[in-house]
Amino acid sequence: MKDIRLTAPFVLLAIILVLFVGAPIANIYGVQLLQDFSGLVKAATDPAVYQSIWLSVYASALAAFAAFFFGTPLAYILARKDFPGKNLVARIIDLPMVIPHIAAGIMLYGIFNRSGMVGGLVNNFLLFEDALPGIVVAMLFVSLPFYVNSAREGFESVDPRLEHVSRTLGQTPWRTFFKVSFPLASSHLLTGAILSWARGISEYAAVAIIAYYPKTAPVLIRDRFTSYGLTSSRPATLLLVTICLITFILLWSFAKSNESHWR
Amino acid sequence: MNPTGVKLEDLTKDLGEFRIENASLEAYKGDYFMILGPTGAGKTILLETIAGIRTPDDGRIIIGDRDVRNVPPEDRNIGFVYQDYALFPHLTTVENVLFGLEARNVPNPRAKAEEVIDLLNLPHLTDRYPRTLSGGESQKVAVARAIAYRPGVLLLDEPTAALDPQTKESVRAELGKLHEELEVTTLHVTHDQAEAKILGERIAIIMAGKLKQIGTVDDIFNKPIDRKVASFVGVENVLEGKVVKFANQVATIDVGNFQLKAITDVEQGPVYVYLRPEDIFISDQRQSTSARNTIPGTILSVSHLGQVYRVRVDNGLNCFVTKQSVDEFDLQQGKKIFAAFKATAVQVRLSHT
Repeated sequence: MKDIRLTAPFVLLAIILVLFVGAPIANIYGVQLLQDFSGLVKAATDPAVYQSIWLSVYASALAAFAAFFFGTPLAYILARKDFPGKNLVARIIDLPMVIPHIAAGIMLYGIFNRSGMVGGLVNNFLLFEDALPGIVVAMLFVSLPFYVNSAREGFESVDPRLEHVSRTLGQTPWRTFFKVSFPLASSHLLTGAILSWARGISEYAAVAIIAYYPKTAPVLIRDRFTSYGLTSSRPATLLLVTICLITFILLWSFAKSNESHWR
Repeated sequence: MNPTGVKLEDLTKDLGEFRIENASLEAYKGDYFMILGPTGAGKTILLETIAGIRTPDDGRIIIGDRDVRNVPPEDRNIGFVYQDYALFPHLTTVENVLFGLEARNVPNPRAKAEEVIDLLNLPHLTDRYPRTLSGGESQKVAVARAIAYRPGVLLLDEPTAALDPQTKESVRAELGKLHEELEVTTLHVTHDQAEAKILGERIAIIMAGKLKQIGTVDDIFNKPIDRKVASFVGVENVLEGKVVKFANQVATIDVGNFQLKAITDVEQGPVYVYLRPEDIFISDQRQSTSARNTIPGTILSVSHLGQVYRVRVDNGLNCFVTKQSVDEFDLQQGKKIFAAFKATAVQVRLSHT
């Protein structure tokens, strides 16, 4: 970056973008902490608030786990095998990123309601409407592409010859997967799970359609905002953002340190 | 250690744009067998097919006395070393070596791993990760990993191709020593003729997916089966001719531009005549020497090839000479010279139909 004629305008534009993300976050902390600290304390001790945050974190973790469980084999197949319709499968998995989430909620509600294709089948022992499973299903739907794409990239980054060598050394395909492919892709898998978990926590529209109750944090925040306005919704928002930031930082640094000893 | 032979019978593998065709060869128990061929000849694919990483379309692969066509790689009792080593980056040296021992439930894996690490002089690298190793060190770890559990067959894919010249030498010496010590049947793929000569007991030449010739080092380098093999193994003079006279093991062969004498068993018929360029002497006048052949000619060109100069002569011969000779005889284009070579330096092979 020697030529200032290019560098200067690029840096300027970059600064604007970073401020665009940073300023609202800085602002909410500044306003809440300096002008309404008691409101924050009140929200932090309000069971409705902390229960909704916990529900968001917990349900989204379940969704991320489901994405990991079902998405890992799919990602591996997409990374390693060639078959007719492979691109179609990959694009189907991407669909949740382009479908409006309110529409996703409606479509999911269509098959997971009490008499829907899936909901009707299991309604004797599993309820999706206004229940935790419904929240998890909505979160999984919108976050799945983040996991699958990241995991696929991870498996693609593993040299297939390492798997070949493992086989010649005497390992079965299963043990090769768990001893070579999986550990070498693990940082991508973890990154994918974190992204998908974060995406799940933030989901409002799809969740609100299938399960308005019990209220997740975004539903509760939206509820308070429409009923009472900015001042009432801000403390819960701040708490949710704080918990997300802390958790992300911890997980990211864990993902980094996980592989730094050999990479 | 229980070395086993390897036999391929009409092995065929079609990869669309590339095809291994009817490859048949046999590496005997304890052999050091070289597969020599130019880049892109299908050497790695052949090796991967023997290892079971690829499934052949046709033909048989016999390891020991088993047809392993439907046997997965983990049950073929082989060791495999890739050109760029393919060490597991998340495992240390000793963990890499332990990998195969543990997979095969070898008793006392740790002791066995340490034994082979000692054998290859790697104890100082035991706990290092692959990214911290040099090329030569990585190569030795990859070999250690492949022989730790004493496979019946060791498959080496261009094991020295990525190394600098000095390291190459030492790795070759190490491979020769190991083979002597372990007597493991070794199939070693290379594009390097020098390597094939140094290490190979027998050599197969592979070109464009076909095994062209299988033989001893002497066979391959002195009696290549056709022009393509000849030019690949560095026999610059391939002449077509006909035996016109034969007496007392000496054949007189007419190659068009001139006649030459050769010591051979070939008594008649159309033949290929091979003459290595370094076996031809050049002088500026006819001399009486022990060489039975002295052929006059005019120099077409003199070109510098590093250590030697190549002299092309209008009688069809290519010769290698030193700088000293170039200066001494003032070799240059248009000069009339005599090219002399012994009758024993000429290799004769019946031209096959």
